[in-house]
Amino acid sequence: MQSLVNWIDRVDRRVIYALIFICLFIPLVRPIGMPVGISPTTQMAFDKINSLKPGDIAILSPDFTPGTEAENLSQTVVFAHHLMSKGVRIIGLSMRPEGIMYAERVLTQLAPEYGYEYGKDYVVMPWKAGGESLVVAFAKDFQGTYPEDFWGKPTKGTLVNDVKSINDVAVIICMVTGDEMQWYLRQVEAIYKVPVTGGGTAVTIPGLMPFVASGQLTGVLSGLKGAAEYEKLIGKPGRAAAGMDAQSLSHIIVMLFIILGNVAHFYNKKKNKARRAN
Amino acid sequence: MFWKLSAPVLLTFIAGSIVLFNFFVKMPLAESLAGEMLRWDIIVKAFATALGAANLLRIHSRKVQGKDQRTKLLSATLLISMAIYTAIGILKGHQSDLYQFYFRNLFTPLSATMFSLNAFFIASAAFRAFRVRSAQAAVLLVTAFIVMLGNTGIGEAIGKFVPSSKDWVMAVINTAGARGILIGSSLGAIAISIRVLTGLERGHLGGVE
Repeated sequence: MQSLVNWIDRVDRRVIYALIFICLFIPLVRPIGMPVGISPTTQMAFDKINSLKPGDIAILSPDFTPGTEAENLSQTVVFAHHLMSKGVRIIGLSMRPEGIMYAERVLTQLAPEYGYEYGKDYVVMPWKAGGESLVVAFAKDFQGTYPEDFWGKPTKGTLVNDVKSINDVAVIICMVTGDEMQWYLRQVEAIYKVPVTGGGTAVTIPGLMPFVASGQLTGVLSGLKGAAEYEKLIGKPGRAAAGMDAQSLSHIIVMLFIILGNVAHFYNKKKNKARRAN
Repeated sequence: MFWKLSAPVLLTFIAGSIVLFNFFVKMPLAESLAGEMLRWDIIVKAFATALGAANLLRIHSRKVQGKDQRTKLLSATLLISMAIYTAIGILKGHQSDLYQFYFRNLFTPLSATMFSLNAFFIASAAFRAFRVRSAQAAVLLVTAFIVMLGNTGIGEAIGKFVPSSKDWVMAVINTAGARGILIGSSLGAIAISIRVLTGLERGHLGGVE
């Protein structure tokens, strides 16, 4: 027993790495199909997008970097699918130079599936420096802040013509890995009352929950699970659903090792106590 | 002394006051002045991005000339990559296929790989560090288990109470804690902003007291 406890206590980290690798790899190759329920925050975000009418304008803002692509890109794709299926016109923009590449890629790839036409149904804005100041600037004057699109062509004559004030935007959807969601909440939702929703990596969600509770954030997708839940709601299982099995199994392995570590810890503690007593 | 200390403090006070005034009072003049300030801010931040790139170039150029072979190689790789990416962006444009190829096939996989390594490190670190050594650690462990299980399909399979418990932890316990932190940090930000506006805080002027 002692040798087993010692092995657990001093298990080589490569064993843990190998097990995590197996748990991530197998479900990606052969999905298990674990059940996915719908959390209240995902339902709120879905209901908000579902309430939009054809012709409404939405800002789709993927504010993430490739590091969190697994979570945030899946969220961007499901929101884009839902918006396009509703006939909502989309403005893709981002506070991050990498994010704008995702906006362009997702919208351009999905546009033919829904018969979306560039300029009329969707546009992509270029990246600009400024961070939170940029949000303030385009909330005050969208057309003045973005006179040209991602391709360097004038935005005049596109759907941007209809954004005379930020209140012409029905919803802002932000996929976030940093503070950008708070920028939209502080500078657009709080001042102009434009609804904000979106998604965040699982680690950013605790910081966003107070805004959901206050009603400022109209629901939020929590990491890969949130995206998988949304895929289920729109009936389009995709990359998030496929990744959920891998994430679930890797979480189980982490929990299993934490339990084993604690068993070994308590066993040794008890043994040391008995030794001291003798 | 005036240009080093008084002038920046005065400029900060004027610019900050205009934007602050415009937030509370709606006046066409304040609106246009604040709008102008914001445009300047965006331009200054664009210069800051360029300054960051220049700084990176300066630091790694020095490292390339250094003696450590490993650092030399890494810094040289960074500089070459930076030069190639910048050249493609300037000459071909960021919409070009070449720029997109570089982003999708080099930058994205490298960045995702770095982030993915966290899964392995966290698993190993959690095993070694997550030991119940006190009552607080036990509370932390139980909460972490509820949230982790609630985020998995297995939690869903065990029963509806698992994801419901996770939702409750996130919506009640977490929100209460996060809101406290948020209010505290916001009060701190307000206090520091007032100190900067009134010239009491001068650390950003190069540590002049």
